[in-house]
Amino acid sequence: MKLDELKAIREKASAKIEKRNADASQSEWKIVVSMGTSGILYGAREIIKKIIEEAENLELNVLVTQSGSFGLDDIEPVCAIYHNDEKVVYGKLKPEMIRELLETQIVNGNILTSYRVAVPGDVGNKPASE
Amino acid sequence: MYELSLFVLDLVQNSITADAKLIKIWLFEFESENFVTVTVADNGKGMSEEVIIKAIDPFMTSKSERKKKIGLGLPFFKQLIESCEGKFRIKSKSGIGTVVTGSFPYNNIDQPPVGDLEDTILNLVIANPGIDFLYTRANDKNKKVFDTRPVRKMLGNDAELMWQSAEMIKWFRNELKR
Repeated sequence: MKLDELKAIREKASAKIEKRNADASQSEWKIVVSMGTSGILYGAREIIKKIIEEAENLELNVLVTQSGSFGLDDIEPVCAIYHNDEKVVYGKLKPEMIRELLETQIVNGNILTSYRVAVPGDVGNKPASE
Repeated sequence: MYELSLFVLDLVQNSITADAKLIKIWLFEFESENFVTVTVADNGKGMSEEVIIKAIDPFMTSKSERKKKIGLGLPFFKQLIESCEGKFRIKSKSGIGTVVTGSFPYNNIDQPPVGDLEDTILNLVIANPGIDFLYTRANDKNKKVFDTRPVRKMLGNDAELMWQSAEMIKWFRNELKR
């Protein structure tokens, strides 16, 4: 392993972290992909791969991670996007949807209603009139 | 599931759910010895003997036990290994961790393709900044070892914050895909 390369990366990255910490308007986004057996069967591995790639392409400040099954086996692959205290769940994901999903939800801050799944505790679960 | 790497991903997710801080993954494919073995070992919370028996039996999980979150991952893996005339083993101790191993003959016709294991490991490493991985893959000609522990040490206190930076993702990709 080329560990010596990490020194330069560390310096570059810590400058970025300091800048980010100083800018309070940069709030945290987190994407969690459901990676239980059923999720894996329906392609969750390709989904998380695509999310990592597209977040990198769009230079998003987002934490991408995985968890056990959400219990939404009938609409796998599933991911939840967290922002401040809000959570939106998206289901029946396909790799080709990911770019649009990240642009709509994270870059523009809108819910992509066509892929959104209403679950308890999800901000998208509010009635349309609200 | 049709790829060994997907089974590995499923086993590793079990380790993550068990709050493991270090997950070791081995794949040895020795044609000369007619022997393939895949192992996932973790230092998670482990299981009691009673829970292990439930975890490997696909029919044991009743609705009232659903809260224990025992899925079908282990029974699937066991079935795969046994269909390849192989041997499935699980060892676990509460508070210590769990080791799951499958070994089968190299020339078995029912053996699934490995799939892109490096890519699977890469995404696991990136998506779990708080967990260390030791990945070892060897065959008759090559041996490859990837360990995140020295990486974490090198990055220092802010390792988790830097883990998903564009620079680190590129570094991980270069190291694993080499």
